[in-house]
Amino acid sequence: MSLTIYGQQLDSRLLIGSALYSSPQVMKEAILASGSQVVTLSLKRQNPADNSGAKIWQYIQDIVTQTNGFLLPNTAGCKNAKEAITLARMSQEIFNTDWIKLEVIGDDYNLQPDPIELLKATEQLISEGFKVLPYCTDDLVLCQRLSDLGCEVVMPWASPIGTGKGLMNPYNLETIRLRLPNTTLILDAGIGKPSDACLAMEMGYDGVLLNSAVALADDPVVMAKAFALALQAGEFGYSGGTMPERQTAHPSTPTLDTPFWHQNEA
Amino acid sequence: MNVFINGKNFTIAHSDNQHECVINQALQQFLNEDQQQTTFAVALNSDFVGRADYDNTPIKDGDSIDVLFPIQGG
Repeated sequence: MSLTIYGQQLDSRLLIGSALYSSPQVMKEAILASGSQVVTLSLKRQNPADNSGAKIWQYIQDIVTQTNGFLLPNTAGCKNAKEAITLARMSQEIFNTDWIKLEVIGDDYNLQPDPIELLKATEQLISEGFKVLPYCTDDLVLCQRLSDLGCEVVMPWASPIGTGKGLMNPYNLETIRLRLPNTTLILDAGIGKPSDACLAMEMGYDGVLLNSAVALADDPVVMAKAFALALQAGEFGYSGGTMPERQTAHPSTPTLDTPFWHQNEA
Repeated sequence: MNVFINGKNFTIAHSDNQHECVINQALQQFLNEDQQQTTFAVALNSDFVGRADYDNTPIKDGDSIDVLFPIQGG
């Protein structure tokens, strides 16, 4: 179970978000239970009277230290390339990383990425030396363009952020996997159940990035473990090679010398 | 001098003979002591300003400064 992101080998194929948990302690326990070594986080305005962000930041630092892990800052909330580029530069200074989960939202209703602005921002940030992990739709040509620009990792959505609807369009996702065999593909957003993550891995995806599915579960720690196991099952399912699907039934028990049945037909 | 910090109007105190303010003055007055020691990043009129430039980046009336801190994210 190892995943390589921009040359960095990781023990887990799960990337996990730090938002929406009921408390910082639950967040920490769930992320540790998941086995993930990549934690996403963000930057926001904060007024002097409110110091709550400092506590969260301390927890996230503790997690990364404990897991020997990595921070993956995002550009959540950005609506054009300029905003995303500025936020990426700010994140680079704060978090001392050139990794950026690049999000440029084009529609407020379903938080669908804006492909035009995403490509613009990707091109600029790569020219500045960033290691871009773009969050995008399950559009093959967009994924190809991102890969052509130099993204070693591309992250198509399963479905809109936070919906938990799972893999909306398996055909598209399978096609992207087939057509981009040398790109690290991470399924990002919309995962609801461990079986969704397992399915992505069975398709040959390299990893899964999720947040709400664990954070909003009744028991986030148990759910985090379930996802860890689901990814492992899916990876083995893919590497084991699934049997070919058939249109007609085939008995699995040998039929030669079957007792009792058909004896009246002789 | 009046600027906007994190979307809100903020008056920067400065001496009468001071003709120009830099971004570091705004940060020192806006942030409490604890926050000045913590991790944050700054943008001026939506452009990133690196830490090394806080003392030499001038600001003017009506400028918009964003001071961002780490928070949880997905």
